[in-house]
Amino acid sequence: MSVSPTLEVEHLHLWRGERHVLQGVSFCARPGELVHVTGPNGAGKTTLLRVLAGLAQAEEGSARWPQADRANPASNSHSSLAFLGHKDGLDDALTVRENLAYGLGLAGRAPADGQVEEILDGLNIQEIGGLPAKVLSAGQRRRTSLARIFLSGATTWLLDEPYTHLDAQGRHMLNGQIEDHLADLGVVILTTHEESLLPRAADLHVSL
Amino acid sequence: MWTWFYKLASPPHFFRIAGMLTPWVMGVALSMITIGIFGGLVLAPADYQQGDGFRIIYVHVPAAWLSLFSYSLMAIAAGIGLVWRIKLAHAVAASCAVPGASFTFLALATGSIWGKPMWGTWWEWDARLTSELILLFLFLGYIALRNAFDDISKADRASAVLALVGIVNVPIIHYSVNWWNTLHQGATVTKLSAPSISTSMLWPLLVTAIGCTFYFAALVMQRTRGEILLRERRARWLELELN
Amino acid sequence: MTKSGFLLQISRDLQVAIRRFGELLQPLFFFVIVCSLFPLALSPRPALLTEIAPGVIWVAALLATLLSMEGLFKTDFEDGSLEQLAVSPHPLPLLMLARVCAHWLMAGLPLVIVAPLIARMFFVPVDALAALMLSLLLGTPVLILLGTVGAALTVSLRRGGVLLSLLVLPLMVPVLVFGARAIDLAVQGAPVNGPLLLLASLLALAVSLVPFATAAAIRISLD
Repeated sequence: MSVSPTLEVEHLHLWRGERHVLQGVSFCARPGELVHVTGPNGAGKTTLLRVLAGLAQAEEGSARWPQADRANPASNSHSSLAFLGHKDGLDDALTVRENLAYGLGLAGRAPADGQVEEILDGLNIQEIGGLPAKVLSAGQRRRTSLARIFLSGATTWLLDEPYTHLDAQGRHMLNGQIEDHLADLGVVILTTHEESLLPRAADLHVSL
Repeated sequence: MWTWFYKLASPPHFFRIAGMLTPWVMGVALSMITIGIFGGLVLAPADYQQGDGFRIIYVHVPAAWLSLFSYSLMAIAAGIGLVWRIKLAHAVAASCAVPGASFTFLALATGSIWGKPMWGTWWEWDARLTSELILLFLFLGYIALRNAFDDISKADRASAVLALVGIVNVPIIHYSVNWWNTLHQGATVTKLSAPSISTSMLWPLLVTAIGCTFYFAALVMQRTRGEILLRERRARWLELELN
Repeated sequence: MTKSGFLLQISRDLQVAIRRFGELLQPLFFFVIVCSLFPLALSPRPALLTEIAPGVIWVAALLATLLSMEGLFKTDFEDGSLEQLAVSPHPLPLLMLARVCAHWLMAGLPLVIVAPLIARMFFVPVDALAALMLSLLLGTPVLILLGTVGAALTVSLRRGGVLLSLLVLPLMVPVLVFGARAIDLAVQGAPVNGPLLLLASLLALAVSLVPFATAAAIRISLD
């Protein structure tokens, strides 16, 4: 346990109106760990991921990224983080490739063309790379936003129900990428109702 | 000093202290207003130009002063709430809006009534009145934004941003309206132009203004207690407090 | 990295706007139509039209800008792009400033270009056209900056359009006053430095402060 954690979450509390959504969530994720956030519908899984991404504010408690802080104390905590929410984050008017280039630019990344093509090919969306996002199916949209995560170079992946809309081949591809990322000492924090879909047993279960 | 401040900023303490203070502040306010109004309406002599008509300043001036004061207080409280995430500050900001809008409306209404004998019309595009009108719009926008959100914490923060943008704009609006007014009307009759307002007219004005400020303070404290009840309705201390 | 973030955002916004060219032209049409209603409603008398032209052009420009603001963040909010913007390591105020610049190029600049035509239809003398364009050039970015705060505050609300107008219209008063006055002075052949400098200082103030307010408002709306 000498490895310092990537993420330390302590006593997160969050209310939504009357509802006490996060009731003192604490956990610690170390490099190479797969964290599975579980809980019934409405338990606050999405909210937890949004808090970790910096999109929602917890009323009490903290989520800290010790390594990121040390590398650059002035940077905001989520400088090395990729987030996949319920919404794909694709603009209908832009093509798959344009959306991807913009998304990666926002993440501060410019991966080599070969790497991009490899990922697009693996996700089976190379053919449709020139089509505007509005003509894509839900599964194709999801694949495009996953490509952004895979190429983001971020240490921590926050994936909210990543298996939604994916067929067997897509899930297989996603799991392969997750395993590679964990092997590279990245951290994956995801929510899903189907534990059997995970590439391997999670290192940590956070049940809400 | 700081511990005292932090204690006060905690909702339970404020709730109790404000509960104790409010009746006293209200008492001081009402007696000062009574004295001031008596001084203004009875003791002070009639104005040699405006006759008894000028006496509306004992309502108009305090209302105009409080309209600006309440907007500033609201913006400062909102800013504190936004930066330091203090719930009490948001509660204070929320409490300022409706009384502030009411005082602004009162300033407009009395100004307009005063306008009848002064200018012969109920409405004149006078710089001060126009500024007050825009201030009223700012208040109404703030209240409308606050009401548009279901979630109190979101309403607090969103309206705080608006209040801060507004407070930076208030002096600019005031300046631009003055500028516009002097260009279009030449030298207008400014209401408080009288450089030598006699002491017998001035002291009741000051007393009423201070009294009204106390009244506003009592109002805000009471309303803040209401806001705290709304925000902390699930809190344990409140249950103990009320039983 | 920050500079490329700014350029990245501008080029993306322009690209999206060009793909939706039809929507892009709507505020411009609105501006032209509103202006042409006044002669119909009042009278086509040249003296009258010249007198009301500064006010009409500025009020119409203000409303047209406002009309274009509601959609500024709406689609990005709905499709999740705004979340990606907020998660990005680029400073959010800078990205917001980039959006403002892109939006001004598409919704503000066309007004500046078309305004002289409208002004001629209102019999504004040719000598005054330069001041007219300059006042719009300085004033429309301020209108758009103020509008973005309102748009950011109301983007998560179901019907934010009218509310947006209520919030930002009072804030736009100084721009309206200085802008219309500049044209008015130019029509009379008087020097226009005063109001134009005032507009320029409003612009400087707005550019330096508003992106921070907009960024804060976006984070609140996403929460």
